[in-house]
Amino acid sequence: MSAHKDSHAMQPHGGTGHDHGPNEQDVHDSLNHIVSPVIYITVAAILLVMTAVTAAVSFVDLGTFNAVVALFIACFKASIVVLFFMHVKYSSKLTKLTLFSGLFLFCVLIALTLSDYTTRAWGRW
Amino acid sequence: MARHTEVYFGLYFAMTGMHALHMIIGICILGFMIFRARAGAYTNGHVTFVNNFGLYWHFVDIVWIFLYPLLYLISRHA
Repeated sequence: MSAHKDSHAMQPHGGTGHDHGPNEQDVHDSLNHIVSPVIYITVAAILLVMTAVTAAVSFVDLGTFNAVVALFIACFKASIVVLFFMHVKYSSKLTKLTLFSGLFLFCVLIALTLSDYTTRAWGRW
Repeated sequence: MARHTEVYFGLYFAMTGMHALHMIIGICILGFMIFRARAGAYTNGHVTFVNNFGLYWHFVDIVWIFLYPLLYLISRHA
């Protein structure tokens, strides 16, 4: 990590493929951003706790809401993995826009699939 | 075997099998990176490969975040 920083300081225009000076805003800052171990350990602890919570909740009979609660917890866990482990929180607006366009397309596909699934036995219940 | 059980375990082994394949690929790439790092690679600021492997590994991570409740927890009361 420190070796990377040193080489960047010594040769601001060489090697790393960044065509701007050392004082300018780096659009590829997610590649160079160093996240402190405290944040990683905190996120890992939250993920472990949420895993325990989702396992514990599954023992309670909530009917249809078992699936809703389990998937909500899974979405929360996936969000903090994407934000912190995949550095999206520290990335450019372009990266975030790309992420949300992917999520939007995913929602479209889910909506199309569910429009089939929920109407397949229409009137036969 | 009941038809429902066949469908469930068809999906179960397809999904866990695909996940295991992703993990085996990831472990192979990780081994390759350890081999390269011991030879002194990645110390000159060219860390894009390590960065991209991190993205791949956390993609595999997120897949399991969803597979675990879907395969093992959700239908407990059904």
